[in-house]
Amino acid sequence: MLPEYFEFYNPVKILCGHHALENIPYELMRLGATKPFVLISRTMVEQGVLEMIGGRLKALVRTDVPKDSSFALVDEITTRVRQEGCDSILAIGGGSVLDTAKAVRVMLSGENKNLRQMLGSEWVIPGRKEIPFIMVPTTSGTGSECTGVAVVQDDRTKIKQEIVSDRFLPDVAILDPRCTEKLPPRLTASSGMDALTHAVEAYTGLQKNPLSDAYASSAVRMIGQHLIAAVREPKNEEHRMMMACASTMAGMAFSNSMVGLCHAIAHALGAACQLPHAEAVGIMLPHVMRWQMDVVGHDYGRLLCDFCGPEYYAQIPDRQRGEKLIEAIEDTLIHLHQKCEIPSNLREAGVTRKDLRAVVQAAMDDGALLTNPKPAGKEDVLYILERAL
Amino acid sequence: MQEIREKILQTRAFQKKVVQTVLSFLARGLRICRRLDPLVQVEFDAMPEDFVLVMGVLGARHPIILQNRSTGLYRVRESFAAVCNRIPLAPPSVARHFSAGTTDPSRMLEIRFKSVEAGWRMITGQISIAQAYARHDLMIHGEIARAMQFVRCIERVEAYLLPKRMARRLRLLQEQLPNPRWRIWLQLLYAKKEEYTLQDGKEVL
Repeated sequence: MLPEYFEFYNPVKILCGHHALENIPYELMRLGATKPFVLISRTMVEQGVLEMIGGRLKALVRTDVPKDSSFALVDEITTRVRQEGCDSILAIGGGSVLDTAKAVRVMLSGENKNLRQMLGSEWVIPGRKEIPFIMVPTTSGTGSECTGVAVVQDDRTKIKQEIVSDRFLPDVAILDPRCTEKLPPRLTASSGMDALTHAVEAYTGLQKNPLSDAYASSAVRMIGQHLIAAVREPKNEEHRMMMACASTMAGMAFSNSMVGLCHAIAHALGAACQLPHAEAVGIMLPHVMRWQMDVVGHDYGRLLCDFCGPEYYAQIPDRQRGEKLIEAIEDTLIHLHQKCEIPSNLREAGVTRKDLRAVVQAAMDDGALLTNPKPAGKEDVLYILERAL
Repeated sequence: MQEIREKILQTRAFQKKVVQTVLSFLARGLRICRRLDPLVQVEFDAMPEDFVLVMGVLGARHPIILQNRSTGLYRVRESFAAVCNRIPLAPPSVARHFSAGTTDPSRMLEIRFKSVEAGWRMITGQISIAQAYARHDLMIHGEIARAMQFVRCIERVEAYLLPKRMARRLRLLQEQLPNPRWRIWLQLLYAKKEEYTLQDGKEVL
């Protein structure tokens, strides 16, 4: 059904496939960059990604980005980049590297001197034109290359602050299978579950619309076909490419349709129990889905066709399709648990019953709760967490 | 053609006034619930002392400004620029620009409707604040966690003030309200007097 009103925004040029990295010098030139600042994870440097990119541009390279980005780090990098006179940013790495680069780009482009001024959602701060920005994700899960969201830790309060702004979107995103070649199977599995959660929540979120639905359902189909295969055969380039593509598409979908309760709980689990985000969402997804079956069961039923294929879908009566999708996702999680030991419940992830109250409180303050299709109170979140324990 | 243009402008002016009036009403409801409703009390107690909450339409010079204190929630009868000057991050000369994002977000939360129509939709009960957020009707400046606390308070006040059927449609009545609705409505009359005391009074902000 067409919503009364919706917005969809994605201006990112996507370069996907064999030797996509080699096109970066051209893209930088096209965008008018002469001296890029390169923020890259150390693993990627060791794998020779900078040599693959090549090019003749002078660049300032930085490799030491901690696991969690912070306001102080963003300030420090911004000052350094300003001093060096860099005019563009190239970010190559996982979630932390990409989020740091997003924040640095906004700081360099605008007049704001403090990242705290950016806190909020869709807030507009007048500034000059954004500097060229290219992103190369090295995991297939966050979809960060196509989302207007950055998560940065506030050093004062030690709380991870979520900032939503279109200005975080890069000019170009590069998906090259060589970047995910050395990814450990456990990381492939958990990031794949993260991408699946993005797609499922985007398909049922309050801001869902026909465009985000198209991306979300395609992402679910690709993940259904290639996630287990990508974990089983890490050398297979096709599976890795499909997962990278699915992650990007899920990112595009949820950046416009927003995520929901599953992410609110996963963010809280990360804050209260230091549980990795991708593993947390993987554990929570089936439980959250089951809890809100009465509201969005029909949408889940439609996704069954994408996740399990039309033959299976045709065999299942309409009323059972939503439940069958949840069972299929649970089976996938258990399969991945057996294959590479990603946790399949909160207990395995080291969460105890006494942690739950803190998790509930943190989840209630998460912005993702606002766009969940079924309103959730503290008791609901506690119930879901107990089921996942 | 002239008539059509005039009608549009008249409608907008009318909507603007209604939005401003209902937001004032909502602010009064918030102040009452700060005293009487346990959920709202808990949410505001968790906010820092002297925390400032701003709500209005984008570009409006006189949005609703509330200040949270342990003693209660107070309506600030000053212009937004004046408030910005008191909690600036940038020099006051810069902070004077409305909604320029120059105030410290850890001491202030600002929620603005992107247009008068967006405010109209919410205050007339056509959509809830969550749906307004989903429709991209809102701009938020400040910590999202604080915004969530504020949103929960607004939803609770709406649950008291809106007709039951409308509140149910907007999914605001998920649980039994701790106070009878008539009690909140009665208190609204007294709140007005308090506001005037405050306005004349010693300590605003």
